[in-house]
Amino acid sequence: MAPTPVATPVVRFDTVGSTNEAALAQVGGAAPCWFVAGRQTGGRGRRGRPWASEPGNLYASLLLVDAAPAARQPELCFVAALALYDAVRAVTGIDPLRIGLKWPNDVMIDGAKLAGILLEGTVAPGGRAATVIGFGVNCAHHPADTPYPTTDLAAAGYPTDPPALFAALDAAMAARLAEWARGAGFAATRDAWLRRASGLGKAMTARLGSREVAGVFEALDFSGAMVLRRSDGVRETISAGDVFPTPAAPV
Amino acid sequence: MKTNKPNIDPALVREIANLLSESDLTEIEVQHEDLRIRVVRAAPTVYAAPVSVAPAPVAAAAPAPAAAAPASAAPVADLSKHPGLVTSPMVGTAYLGPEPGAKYFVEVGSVVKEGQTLLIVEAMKTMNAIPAPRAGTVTRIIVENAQPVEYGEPLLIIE
Repeated sequence: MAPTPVATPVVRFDTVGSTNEAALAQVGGAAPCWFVAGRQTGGRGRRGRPWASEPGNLYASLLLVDAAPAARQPELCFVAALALYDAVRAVTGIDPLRIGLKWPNDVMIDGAKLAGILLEGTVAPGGRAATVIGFGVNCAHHPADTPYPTTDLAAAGYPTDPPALFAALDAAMAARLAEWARGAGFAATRDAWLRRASGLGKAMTARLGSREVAGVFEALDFSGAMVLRRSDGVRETISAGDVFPTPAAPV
Repeated sequence: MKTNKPNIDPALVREIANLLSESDLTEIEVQHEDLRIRVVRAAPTVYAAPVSVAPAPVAAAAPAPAAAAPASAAPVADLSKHPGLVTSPMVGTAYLGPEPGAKYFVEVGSVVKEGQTLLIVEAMKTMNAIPAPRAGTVTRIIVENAQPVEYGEPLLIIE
């Protein structure tokens, strides 16, 4: 099948170690640019966790250079999550009640993780900030051995070819980047994210290194950090860590 | 060892921070049983750094003037003026190694090239490699692995 045309330049691999690694190796080259693979042999997630990368899923990393000042780079996490949400809805037409966003950048279907987005920031030659946004999207397969529920588009009832999803993702990324406007439009990005959020107003727990914070997910602060209101009324803002619904207390 | 969650009274921290901003002091440290709170002025912002925390009733007395004497550790305020200081470009969590259990990017004594990754600051699941602004030798690592950092917070020193 011929690749679906996309507006942004694309470097394609049949097999690569990791599309993020491939993109990070090219921070001095032309940007924006996509690095897309049919399969990864060394796919990885947050903090070096392996990411199962069988053929049939989408593996795509977008290299951006000088997308915004360094301090605003983390906002791209919300831009990326929204773009993937848009792309999945555009391709599948899935009921919006079944799909949602989990802080900060997970796309969930029926409460299960559909994809992983790993952002890595570095400095390009000349001192400009570079960001690589890696998307691993479960189109045909999802891992069974994760500590949290996972799903794929086929299992959710929407068999999807990775190239079709990739074309939609390229268009959605362009639109969400334009809305974000190098950070000047983050308020619009945040509002859009909140309208699609799952877990808002619910009991959530954030695991921060050795510490856990449990509270009601109240809001996103101006920077996108998650605001949790603890049972003692104190509000904590969470800017990193793993977040999951607070398990119900044992009866 | 007490392993309960920290119990910090935000009103107390706020009160200390106010005291700091109303005075000419750059640092106030209050200790009550196992709870030690140090508030340091790092221009232009004031932030609170809980150094060691354990549950303790916070019926803390107002800090005596003596509490303003420099702590035994080198004051953070001095480091903030160090010419070889590398600071955090964002709010997040600092990681000294690429993944849990892995060797750290640099140690005290490491000779680094300009642009070499010193550590990672994670914010909103963005892993930001912090590069060496210039070549030199790492003489001090100020942050701990997996420590939350503020914008502009001192990370390490290259001389």
